[in-house]
Amino acid sequence: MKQPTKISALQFYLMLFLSRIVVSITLNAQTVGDRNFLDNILSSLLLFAALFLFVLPLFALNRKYPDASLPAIAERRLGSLGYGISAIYGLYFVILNTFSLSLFLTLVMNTLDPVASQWSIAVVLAVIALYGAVKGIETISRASICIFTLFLLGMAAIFIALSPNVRLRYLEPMLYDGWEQTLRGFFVFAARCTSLAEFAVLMPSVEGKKKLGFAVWNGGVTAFLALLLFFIVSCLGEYAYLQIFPAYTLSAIAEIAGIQRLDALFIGLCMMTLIIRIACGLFAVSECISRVMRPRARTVVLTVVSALSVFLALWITADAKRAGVLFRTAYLLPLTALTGAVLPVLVWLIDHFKKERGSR
Amino acid sequence: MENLSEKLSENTEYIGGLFENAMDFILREFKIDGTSAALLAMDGLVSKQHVTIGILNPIMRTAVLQTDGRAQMEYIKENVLGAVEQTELHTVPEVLDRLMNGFAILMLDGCDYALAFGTQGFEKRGVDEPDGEVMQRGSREGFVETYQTNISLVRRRMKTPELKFEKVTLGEESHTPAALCYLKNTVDPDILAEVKKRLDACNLKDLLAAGYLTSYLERPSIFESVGLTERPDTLCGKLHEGRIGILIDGTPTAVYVPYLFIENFQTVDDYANRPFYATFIRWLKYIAFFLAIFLPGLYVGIAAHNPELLPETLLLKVAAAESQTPFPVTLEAILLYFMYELMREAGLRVPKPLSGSVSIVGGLVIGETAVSAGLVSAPSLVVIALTVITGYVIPKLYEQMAVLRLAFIVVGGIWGVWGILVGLTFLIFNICGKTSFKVPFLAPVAPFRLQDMRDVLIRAGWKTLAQKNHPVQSMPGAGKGEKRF
Repeated sequence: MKQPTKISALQFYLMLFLSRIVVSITLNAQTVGDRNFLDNILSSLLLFAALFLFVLPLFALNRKYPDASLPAIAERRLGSLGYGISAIYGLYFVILNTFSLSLFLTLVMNTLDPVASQWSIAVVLAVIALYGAVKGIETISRASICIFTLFLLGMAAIFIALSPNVRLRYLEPMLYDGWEQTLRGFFVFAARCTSLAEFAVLMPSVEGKKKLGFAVWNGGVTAFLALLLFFIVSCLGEYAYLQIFPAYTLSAIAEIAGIQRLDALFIGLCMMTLIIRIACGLFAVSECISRVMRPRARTVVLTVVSALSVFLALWITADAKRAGVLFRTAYLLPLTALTGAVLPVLVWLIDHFKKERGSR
Repeated sequence: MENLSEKLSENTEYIGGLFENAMDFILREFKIDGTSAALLAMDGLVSKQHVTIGILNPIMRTAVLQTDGRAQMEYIKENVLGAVEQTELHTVPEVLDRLMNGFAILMLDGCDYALAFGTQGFEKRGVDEPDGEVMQRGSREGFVETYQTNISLVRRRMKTPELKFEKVTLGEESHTPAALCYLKNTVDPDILAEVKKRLDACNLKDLLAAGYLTSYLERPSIFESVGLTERPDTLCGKLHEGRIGILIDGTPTAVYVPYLFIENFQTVDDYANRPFYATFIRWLKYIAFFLAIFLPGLYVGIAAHNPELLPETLLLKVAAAESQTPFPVTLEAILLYFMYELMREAGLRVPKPLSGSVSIVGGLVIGETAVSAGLVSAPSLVVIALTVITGYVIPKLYEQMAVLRLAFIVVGGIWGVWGILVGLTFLIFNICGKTSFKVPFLAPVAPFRLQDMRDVLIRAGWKTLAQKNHPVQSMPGAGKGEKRF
C-alpha cells in the first residue's frame, strides 16, 4: 500500500483554522440570534468542548489505522457499504463548497459591490482552489502557512485600528436573556464546522503532535471568535444586529494611519481563506474517490465538481428563497453531524465489534 | 571506425577525413628512426611552443632502438616524454574528445593506441570580479569561461579531500565538458543520483550557456529552482550546505541545486556584514520584492476600484492628477511600464556611444514631457519609477518580477484590491507547490521551522549560524514526494 504524503500537524491545523474561521466570521443576527452577540462566545466555547468529545472516535481510529482515512477504513471493514460512506463524505464536501461559495457571493453582493460580476468572482475563486487541490495537500498546507500569516497581520491591523472605537458600555451581561442565543449560535457554528469531516478524511496525511495541535487549534479558533464578537459588540453596539455581515461592517469603520475603511482588505483576506477552504474540500473529495479512480480521472472529476459548485452557488444566490434553504441551519446541521459524529462513531463501533468477534 | 588501427595511414586518413575543411586541424607527420609517426592537434587550443619544445624536439632527437610500433610507443612514454598529463587512447571518439580539449595526440605506425599530452594553450579571460554579483566585502574573484580555472577557484577555497569533482560531458554535438562538484560528507546521495540522472537525460545538441541546462534540472514554473552564480565563494557556501554544483566549460556561471526561494534574498555580503545590518538589508529586500510586484497593481486597484483605502489628502491629489490625463489609470500604468521596459531593453542592446541618447530620450522626453503634456499623471510615473527601482534590489528575481508586475496591474485594474489578493493566493499556491529536488521551494517558511528563521527573518551572528548548520536536504518537508494526482 502506498504511504500517504505527510504534512506536519502545524500545517494541518493552520489549514483547518482558515477553513473554519472563514465561515464563522460571516455570522449575523439572522443566523445566530439578535439578543446578545456576547452569548455566542459561550456558543463557541460549547463547540470547543463538543469537538473534544466528537473527535475521540476519530483519534481512536487513527491510532489503530494511522495510514487510512475513515472512508478507507469503512471500505476495508464494510466492503461495498463502505463505498457508500466515501460517497457521503464526497457529497458532503461538494455541498459545503457550494455553501461556502454561496455565502461569500452573498457577502460580496450585499456589501462590497452589488453590481459585481458574481460569475467572474466565483470562477476565479474556484479555478485557483482547483489549482491548489490538484497540486496536492502539501501545497495547500504550505500555502496555509503564508495565508495564515497574512490573515493574522490583516486582522491584527483591523483590530488595532478598531481599538479606539471600543465602547465598553455596549457590552451587556452574558446570558441576560437566557440560553436561546447561546444554543442557537452553537448549532450554527456546529453546522458550519466541517473540521471533523476534514479530520476523518485527511488525518492519515498528518504527522506530529496531532492531539496537542487539536487542542491549540480548537482553542485558537474559539479565542479568535470571542475576540471578533467582542469587537463587533463593543464597536458597533445595537447597529451590529442590523447588519447582514457585522464583521464586514466592523472592517469598514476601521481606520489606520490615514487609511480609511479596511473592508477591501477584509474581503481580500476572506477570499484568500475561502480559497483554502474550497481547495481543502476539493482535495478531500479527491481522497474520497482515490480508491476507485486513477489520478487523471480524479482531476477531471474535481474539475467537474468545481464547475458544479460554481454553477450551484450562482444558481442559489440568484434567488433569496433558494439561498435561505441552503443557509438554513436545520438542513446543514444533520449533514455535519452525520459526517462529523455519527459515521465516525459508527465505523469505530463496527471496527471494534468485528475485531472482538474475530478474536473469540 | 571505432578502435584505432595499427596502421597509421588508416588512422590519419580517417581522422583527417573527419576534419576535412577544418583549417584549425593540425596533422604533422614525421619519422622516428624510420617509423612513421603523426602528431595531431587543434590550432588555437594547444600551445605550439609547448608542443614543439615538450613533445616534438625530445622525440626527434632521441634514438629509439625498438622496431615494433608498440614497443617504440612504450619506450617514448616511459623514457622520452615527461608530460604530467599523458593518457593512452584506444578509440577514435577518445582521440576526438582529447583533441577538442586542447591535447596533442601522438600516433605511431604499428601501434594500435595513441598517446595524448596535456598541452592546452588557448586564450582565456583572466579572473575578474563578476559584474552581475558585485559585493562590498566579499572576494573580488569571479568564475571565468574555462572550467579548469573554475575548479581551481573552488578548490582553493575548500581545501578538503571531501570536495569531489566528477567529469560529465554535455551536448550531443558540442561535447561540452562539465564538472559536477559536491562535498561527499554533506551531499544527499539521492539528490546526487537524481542530478546525474537528469544530466544523463539532457538531449541538448549544444550547451552554450548555463541557462540551457536549467530546464533539465527543474519543472517549468515562473520561479527558478536552479541556482546560478558567478562567484566561487557563493558556490562554496552552497556546497557546504549539501548542494551540488555544476561547472560548465565555456560559461562563467555555475549552476547549483537544490535552490530555494529564500536564496534569492541572500547574498555573500549578508554574511560578511554585521548581523543587525544584514538583517535590515534582508528586510529591505523582502519589502522591495513586494513593492516591485504589487505596488503598481495596488495603485491601479485602489485608484480604480477602492479609493476609500487612501487617505483623503492623497486621494484628492491622485484624483486631481488623474483627471488631467486622457487614459484610464490601468492603461496609463501599462503604457508607462511598457515604455520603461522598452527603454531598459534599448539601454542594454544599444552600442555604448548611443546609450547617452537613450537616457536623455527616456529621462527627459518620456519622463518629464509626458507628464507636462498631460499624457500621464505624475503619481503614476512616481509609482512605476519606484517599482522598477525596487526591482533592482533583488536582481535574481528581475525576470519574474517584470512579468508578475504586469499581471498584477491587469488584475488590479479589473478586480481591484481583492483581485490582487486572490492573485497573490495563486502565486502562493504556485510557489508552495514547487520543490527543488524534493526540497520544498519555500522551505523553511512553508513548511515552517522556527530554528531556521535565524537566517530568514534575521541574519544571526556567525557563532549561532555555525553552531547548527543544517544541510539543505534536512529542510522541513524535504525528501517527501508530492501527493499529486
